[in-house]
Amino acid sequence: MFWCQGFSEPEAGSDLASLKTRAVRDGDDYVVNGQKIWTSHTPSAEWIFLLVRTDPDAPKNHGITILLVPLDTLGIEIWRIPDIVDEGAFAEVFLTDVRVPVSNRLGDENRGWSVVRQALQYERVGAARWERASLVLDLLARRAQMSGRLSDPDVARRLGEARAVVEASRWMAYSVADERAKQLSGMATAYPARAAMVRAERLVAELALDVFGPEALVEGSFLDDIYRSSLTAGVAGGTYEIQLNLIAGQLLGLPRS
Amino acid sequence: MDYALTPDQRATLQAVEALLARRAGRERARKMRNAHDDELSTALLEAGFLDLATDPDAGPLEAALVTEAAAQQLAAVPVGARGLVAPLVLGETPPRTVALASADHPGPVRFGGDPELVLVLDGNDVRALQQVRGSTRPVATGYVSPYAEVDLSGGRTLRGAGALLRRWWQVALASELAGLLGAGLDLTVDYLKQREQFGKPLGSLQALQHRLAEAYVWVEGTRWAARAAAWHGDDESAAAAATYATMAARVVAPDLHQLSGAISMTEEYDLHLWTMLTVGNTDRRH
Repeated sequence: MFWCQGFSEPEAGSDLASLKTRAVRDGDDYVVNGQKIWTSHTPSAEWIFLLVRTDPDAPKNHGITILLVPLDTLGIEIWRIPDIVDEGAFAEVFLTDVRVPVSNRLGDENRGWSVVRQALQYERVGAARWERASLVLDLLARRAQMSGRLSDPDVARRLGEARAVVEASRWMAYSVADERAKQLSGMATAYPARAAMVRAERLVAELALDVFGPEALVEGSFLDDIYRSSLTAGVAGGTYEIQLNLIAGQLLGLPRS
Repeated sequence: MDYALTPDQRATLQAVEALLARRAGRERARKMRNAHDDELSTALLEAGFLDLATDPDAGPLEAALVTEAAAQQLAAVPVGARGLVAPLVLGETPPRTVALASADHPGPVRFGGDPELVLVLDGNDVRALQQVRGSTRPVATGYVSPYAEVDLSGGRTLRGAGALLRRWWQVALASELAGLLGAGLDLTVDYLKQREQFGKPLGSLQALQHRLAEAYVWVEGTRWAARAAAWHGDDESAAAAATYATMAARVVAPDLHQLSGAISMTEEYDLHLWTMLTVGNTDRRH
């Protein structure tokens, strides 16, 4: 079964907890109205993991509920958003009087936020972007070797540095997985792991452009894909800056401004 | 060097900006995507803005200022190649459209689809290819300008002109990047002033302010390095300008997307017009 995440809204991006999509109880159903945006892979998904507001008067983290909704439910409309990334990455989901049985609620009403936070923790390292960066780096190295550019010490040095950055980010992600497997919290360690993999992916993409120049521009070439998808690395699944905030606050214990 | 523009330079800049405001800009760029803007090229030529580099009353600095302004307004015309590089390499008025290429670095040539002249950097020499029409093949890219594969063999050899081409190409690159990154930054600053999250404008967050401020430093550095190189006209300042501009592009272009978030990765939002031109235009091996 293929799921998409109905999280972000036009006015709730980094500030996800301010989401407004409203669900009102009506007998055995919730009636949902609102809009989601940047919902990845919606066209191929069958179900949506939907965050809705059930108590508009509670503090924003305390009025959120999770509903599990089949995407073919009446009242759901999906619009693709043309993007410059070519991943089919973005869609808008419009919800108009969508009826969702109460039995499709995940967890308690108004208690969804802690579940979301946990889901986001998994997403932070769940997408194995370091592995993709690593495979891309293999290809770059092979190409550099074939084209003779590897004999340029500057190219060799930069490939080596990129390898180090990718591997460090891999080990950080593995340590998070290990903590979780051992039922340790594995929560806060996800932030630096995620930040490191964003840096790794960006570094590899820059390297591709630097070493291969105009060749990297051809549409559909893997070099071109790398650069474009690297633009999303620091935004998808929680921004790089949010990770830095969490590291500063939760790991370094710095005071809030 | 006097760092303030002279009244004549200011007048030239204002005049070309007025023309570009009418005939270039975002909407026009979207219409002209992956194409050469013949009308704009004609307008710029007729007004004399592409013949300043060898004009005794103007010079390379004026041509560089025009190049910067054209990039800012997303002109789909090879202004730097035609107005700055080619006249100074040839020592005469070039034909209407010029593309620049390098024999050492294969790949699609920007504005290579149908140029009347291609200047090929080939070691210490330059080869001038005329009438490449028929031997070019358009290449699809997402980098806004038109690109084509061009057979770079043959042509008239300008012996020893390689350094000259490299120098002015570097100045043109730096001038373009100054215009592109500057305009991209302006758009991003405006967006972060009005986009609210956590109950306040994103632009009020100090961490983001610092990133924007650093981008501003890169942009201003690029602008002044490009102008100084155009004024001095020596190899060293040209190389410094191109190097600085390339470093700036590497940091600033992805950062503008990062600071703007997902909206900036959509077609409907304009930022990519500037940033993709920046990426496509940056020859990182300068």
